[in-house]
Amino acid sequence: MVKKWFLILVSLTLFVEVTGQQSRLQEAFSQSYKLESAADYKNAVSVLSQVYEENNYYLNLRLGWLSYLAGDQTHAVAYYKKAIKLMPLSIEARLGIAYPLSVLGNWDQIINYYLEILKIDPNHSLTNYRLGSIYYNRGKYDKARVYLEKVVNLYPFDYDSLLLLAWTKLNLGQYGEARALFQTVLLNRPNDESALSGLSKIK
Amino acid sequence: MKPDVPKWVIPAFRFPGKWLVLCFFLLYALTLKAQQEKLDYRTTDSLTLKYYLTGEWDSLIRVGKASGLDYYWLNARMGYAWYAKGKYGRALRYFKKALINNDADPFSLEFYAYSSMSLGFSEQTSAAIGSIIQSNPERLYPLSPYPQSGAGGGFLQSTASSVLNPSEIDKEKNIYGEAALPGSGPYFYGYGSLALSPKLIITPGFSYLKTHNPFRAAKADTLLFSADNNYHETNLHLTMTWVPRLCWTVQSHLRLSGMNYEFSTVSYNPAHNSFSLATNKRKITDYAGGLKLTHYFGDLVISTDASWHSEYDSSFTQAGINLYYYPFSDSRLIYGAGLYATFHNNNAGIAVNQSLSLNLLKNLWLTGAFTLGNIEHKSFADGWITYNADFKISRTTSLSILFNLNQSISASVQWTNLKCKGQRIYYSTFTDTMFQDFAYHKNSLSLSIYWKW
Repeated sequence: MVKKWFLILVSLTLFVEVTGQQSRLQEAFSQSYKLESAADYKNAVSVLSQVYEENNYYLNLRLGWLSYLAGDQTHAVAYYKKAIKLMPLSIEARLGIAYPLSVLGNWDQIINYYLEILKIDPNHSLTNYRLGSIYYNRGKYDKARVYLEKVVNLYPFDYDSLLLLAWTKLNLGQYGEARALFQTVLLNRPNDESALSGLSKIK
Repeated sequence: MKPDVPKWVIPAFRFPGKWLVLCFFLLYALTLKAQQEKLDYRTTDSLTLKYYLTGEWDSLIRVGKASGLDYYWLNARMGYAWYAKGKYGRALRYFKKALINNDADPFSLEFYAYSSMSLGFSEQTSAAIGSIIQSNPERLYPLSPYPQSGAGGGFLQSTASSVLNPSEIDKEKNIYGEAALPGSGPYFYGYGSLALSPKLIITPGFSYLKTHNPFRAAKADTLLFSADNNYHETNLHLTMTWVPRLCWTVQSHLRLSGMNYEFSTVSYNPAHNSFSLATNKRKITDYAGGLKLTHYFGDLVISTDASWHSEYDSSFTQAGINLYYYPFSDSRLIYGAGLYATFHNNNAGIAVNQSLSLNLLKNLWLTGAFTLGNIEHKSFADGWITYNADFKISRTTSLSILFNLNQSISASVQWTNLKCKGQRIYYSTFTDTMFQDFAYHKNSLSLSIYWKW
């Protein structure tokens, strides 16, 4: 009988502890959102740090984002890396790590994370677009074209992808296709300066 | 009354006033440690950016080292700080780290190239330039960020030997000679480059070589004659380098040489069964000109060149194409292959060369060169034709050390050792096939001074 009561007591204690920890986490997350909206990123980080658990994916992900906003890029990268380790198929963590890495200028690492995303989801439009724009800025128009064409096929009337693909084609000397793309951009945004400037280079 | 101070206390601190000094140092050390602990990303980034903009290189390096961080902009700024201080080896190390984070940034690539150029690592320079082209095909660069002049000198020591038909040699009947060509002696050189525009550089220069060539002729291991030949060579050079686009380099060169030398010949008089030695003196004026085009395709470099050379009694034209592979990701390896064609008045030849260079240590390169075949065709007025085919293997080892005396003056000491062994096969419509073993060995030690202005 004593044994039974003892087990009930232990279970209750554990239940209270778990729910207590859960409510502490909820409270900390809630407070961090309030502080984030008030642009107090440092305190938002410190609130979550008080309930930090190394094996908690959500905490690592959120701390990665807040550390990035707080300007602590090295910690942001570390938190996002932990999140990726905990959830190896996470696309959001890989998209997130790109922010601090871009501030640090570590673009080759960003490309690697984006390529990992495309292994998980080859049609991920945002990643295809971003890879396309990185390669465009590096002057590797052939590579940029591959990713941007994929986005334009998935979203044929998306302004940003159409415009970037049009400039890519222009740089590749594919003037006919570039002209058609610039004209499609003008259907989306009539009188768009960039598209008009591109068309003037073809004429 | 004097306080009772324990014996273990350091004598200097047996008086209370000295404890204040100790406390001050402790406080200073703690403050310094606290300052170091404050070097997080934001502090490091803002401080190094500030120092970079104000040109406070020592402070930038101190902060960068203390932070222990590793990201693109920090490495790029650290690299530039070392570059500005004239420490190109350290600059190279940081630019390399920066390029691991972002291999397409033209800033680090450009200064990686300049640092390599300053250290005399032409292969790494080419590799970096190749990568700049990949990422920025339209970008135009000057050849070098500054005009440069240099002067130097050294000592050359070489030996050469050749033996005809080694398997059939009959030393009782044959005379054989050994000559060290070009011999041993000192040399000097100087040049000064002038940038006429960011894309056009003109470089006049001169060089002088004076060597001493011992000559010996023997029969059946008995020394018959020996002579001391002397050689003087003065060269005037003019090179113009034009870089219309970064991926293209056009180089034209002119050379005017004056050579003054003594040479010895052995002649055999069958009537008296005797040998005689004649030493002659000769003055030669030689000139040459050529054009070289180099195109960079990332890790691949293709160069074509054509040149015309006068000789004291004939002239020849040479044209060739060379292909080099400089992998930027592993700049310790270079592979090169080339094809050369030579045309004389009555002579034409073709050579296929291959070379492989490995960077064993920081400044130590090992180069192996292998000539697959150097086939020459000669026709003579009396109707007979000869073909020569050379097969040779050579190995070059060089060690160079660079000293930066200050920001604009640097000096280098370089030792180069070359060993070559080969065999020439003669086929002639007039005589039988003959074999000739040849070998040469060259050592050179030079000291150079460079001045950037």
